Amino acid sequence: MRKFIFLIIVLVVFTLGSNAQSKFDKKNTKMSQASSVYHQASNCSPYTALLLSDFKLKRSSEQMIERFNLQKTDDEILVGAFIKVNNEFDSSELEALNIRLNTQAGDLYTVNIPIESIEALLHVQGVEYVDIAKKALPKLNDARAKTWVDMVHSGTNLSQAYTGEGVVVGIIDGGFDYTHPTFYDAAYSQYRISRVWEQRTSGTPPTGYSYGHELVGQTAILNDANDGTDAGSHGTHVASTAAGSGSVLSSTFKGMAYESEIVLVSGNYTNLGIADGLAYIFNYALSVGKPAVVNMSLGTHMGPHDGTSALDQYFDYVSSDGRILVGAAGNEGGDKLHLDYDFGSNETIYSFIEFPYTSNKTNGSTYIDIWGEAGKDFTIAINLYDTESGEYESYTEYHSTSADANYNYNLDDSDVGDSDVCTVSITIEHANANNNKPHIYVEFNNEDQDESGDIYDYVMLEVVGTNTHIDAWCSGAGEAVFTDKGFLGVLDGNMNLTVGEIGGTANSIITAGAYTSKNTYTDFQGNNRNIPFYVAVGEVAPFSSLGPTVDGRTKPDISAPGNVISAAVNSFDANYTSTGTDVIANVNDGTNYWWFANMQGTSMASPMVTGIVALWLEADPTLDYVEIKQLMQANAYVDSYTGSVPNNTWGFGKIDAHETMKAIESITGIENLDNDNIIQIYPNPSNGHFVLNIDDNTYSHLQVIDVLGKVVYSEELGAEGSQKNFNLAHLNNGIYTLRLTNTKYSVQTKLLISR
Amino acid sequence: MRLFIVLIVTVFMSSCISSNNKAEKETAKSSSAEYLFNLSLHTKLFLQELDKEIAIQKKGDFIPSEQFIEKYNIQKIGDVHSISGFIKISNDFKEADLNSLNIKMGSKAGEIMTVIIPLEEMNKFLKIKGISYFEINKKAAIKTK
Repeated sequence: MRKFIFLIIVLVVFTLGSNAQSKFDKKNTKMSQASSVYHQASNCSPYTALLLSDFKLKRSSEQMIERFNLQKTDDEILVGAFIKVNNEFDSSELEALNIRLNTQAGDLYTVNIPIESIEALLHVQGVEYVDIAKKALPKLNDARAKTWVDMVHSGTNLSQAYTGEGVVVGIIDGGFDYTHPTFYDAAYSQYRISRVWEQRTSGTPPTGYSYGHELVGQTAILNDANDGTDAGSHGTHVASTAAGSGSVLSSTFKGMAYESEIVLVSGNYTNLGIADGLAYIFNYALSVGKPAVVNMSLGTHMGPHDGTSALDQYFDYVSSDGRILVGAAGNEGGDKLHLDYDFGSNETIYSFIEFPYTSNKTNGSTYIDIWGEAGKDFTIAINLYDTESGEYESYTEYHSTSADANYNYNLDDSDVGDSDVCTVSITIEHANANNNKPHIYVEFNNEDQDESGDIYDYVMLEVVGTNTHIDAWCSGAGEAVFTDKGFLGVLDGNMNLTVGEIGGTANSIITAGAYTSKNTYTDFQGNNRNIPFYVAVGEVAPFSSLGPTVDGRTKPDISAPGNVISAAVNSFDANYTSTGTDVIANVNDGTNYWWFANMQGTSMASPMVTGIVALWLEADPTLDYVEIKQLMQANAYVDSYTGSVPNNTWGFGKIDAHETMKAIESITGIENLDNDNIIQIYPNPSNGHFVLNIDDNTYSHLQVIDVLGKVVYSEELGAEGSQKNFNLAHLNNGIYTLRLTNTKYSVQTKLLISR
Repeated sequence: MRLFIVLIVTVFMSSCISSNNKAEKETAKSSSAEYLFNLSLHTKLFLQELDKEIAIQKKGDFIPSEQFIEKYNIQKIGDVHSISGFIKISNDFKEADLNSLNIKMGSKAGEIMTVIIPLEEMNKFLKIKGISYFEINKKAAIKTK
């Protein structure tokens, strides 16, 4: 049995301030001695001593403000601190130093201290200890607190603590480090990954499949160690957020469902691999008799965005009681990759396509996907347009959606002696088999176009339509967007409907948007940093994709912290070392190091939701996606940032794991009693009109209870017989608990009202 | 100045449409493959490019180009280059028809099934009865910003 002794490599803020002194470095020794003067002389904390040292050394105020998170006013710099006092303490002495007392709790006060008064404070009679405030870090504990998951973990105001035990959390992703201690329990004794399917690896596929390699059990999985050293860290981070234990750093890096069972699919990054991976995870969960929730932090903008794609239909079929899908909305909320227009009679629109930002915006390769209304054809042409001279340099013929076809063009620019070619492939389907909509897919390869000098030749989309509507998407962030280039009469792209296929458009998937739970952090080297996409804490992440879907459904469904999340990363990924600016902490066994680092994206928000759903499934393994969405909606947190909900930025609002769990408990606490066909409802779902069959007429008291536990209807049935018609059409759509009681027992069943 | 640019754009947008262009239209035909069921747009595009791939092959076993393999996520199952996709099946569907072409069946959800089809069997696959729709796979990207 291995006996790893983990050394917690703490953040530099602790390292710098700790009592431990290096035995190997004179420079360190000198620094330690300097700090200890203040620490030993005045009973201040090491961190306080460090601040005093900097102050004595006349560090710039900007440096100290940043390093110690100080508060600057017009005429002073304030230090927040805790002080511990004894009976000799006289608060009037602090007033003389212009130190402001805030909150008192027993012999502890919170205070604000002008920086020049700190040393004097240490000599005030009765002040036993001074500990300046420490900068908070963007760890998973921040995200847990923001979503009230900690209260679910502790069982606060609940019947029990919930940890994800008894639930399978599936992750379809890539870049997994199977050896990371976060995938053990917090005591590092129980390994929690049960199965891995590496879809890109040759070997022994899972039963029923013909590709990839399956790893079964701890030994096989750990021997394999990872799914490829070039796969990055995305999957490790996602899995750690949803289900990691945080290992010995559990209090700070514990994931949402930290005692769940984990199944990983290292995907081949196709929608088909996702479909097979989903079935693989659900089949495993079925074999062990557990509910399952699967995370897919993946997406694409190729598709109708209306829930009718083959994969979305597949999702809707496999999602059922205790089989839940969660996906990332996408990171294109700041990118004008969507174009839409309502055409009048014989109207023509134009929009430029701006190629990747890394190029000169005119060259590169990309695609656009254009969808119309069923039964209404439209026509397109692709032009090369010189925005300086105002000339068309080349263009395709007009092509209508009236018939299936494919056309390929080489468009030449007009540069004398230096003409370049843009290849254009236009593929048309008159009526898509899944939704009957006309559809045109256009691929561009303009990689040779104007790579230097001339940056004026833009690809321009031209669309002609009559009394119809089109939606078009460029390939996405960092690749291409629609733009008007400042020309009147040319359409600009927009950020609406940027929720992507795969993670965002199916009816059954729970789509996660991202908000900001922390905007500053201290890296492993002790440097204080702002997050890359800096906005106020609580604000939506600037990249979080926006809804709705084309068919008008609000998306995302819910928002969760995703800007930024600090969680485990792949130790085989060379991008993460102690000097990485986004690296926060590590654990080690004396030989091997495993890192925790920041990432941001709806990829990170999605596993927050996945892990929380796992907690809910622990309470009620039969929840389906309709119930979960209704519970989330009824209990989501709404504030000034979310505004009125639901909306297409936040969905239902900010996910609240605790309030939702309370609602689930209010229902399931009784449902555990066996209905045993005593109550039957038909039809169910209903529009509010339904027939209730009661097989035991001793049950005479009827209650209808909503997801918040509120009784919305009650009736004494008396001895009216075993069958009764009800009209509850006044109730909103939703799930309700229908409870019948007699003098001794109660039984209940679920009623779904849906119109 | 802005008005001037707008005018230029407007004039050229209307005038150039009727002028001669230099575009070279390479082809305007669909794949030669015949099929009994609906295909997604990308499947038709794939079939057309598969035709081209086959056309440029010399004698011997068909080996798709690296570009084609990358673009369509062509998998090698054993020694056989294959394309994965979704099919929708109807009542007269027979698994034996797929087995006879060495087509691998994966997950099934209602009437939707995942399949992996050897490229060399594609034309025969497209004539199988009991299938109402075929859609090749699409790539997915991770959603980290």
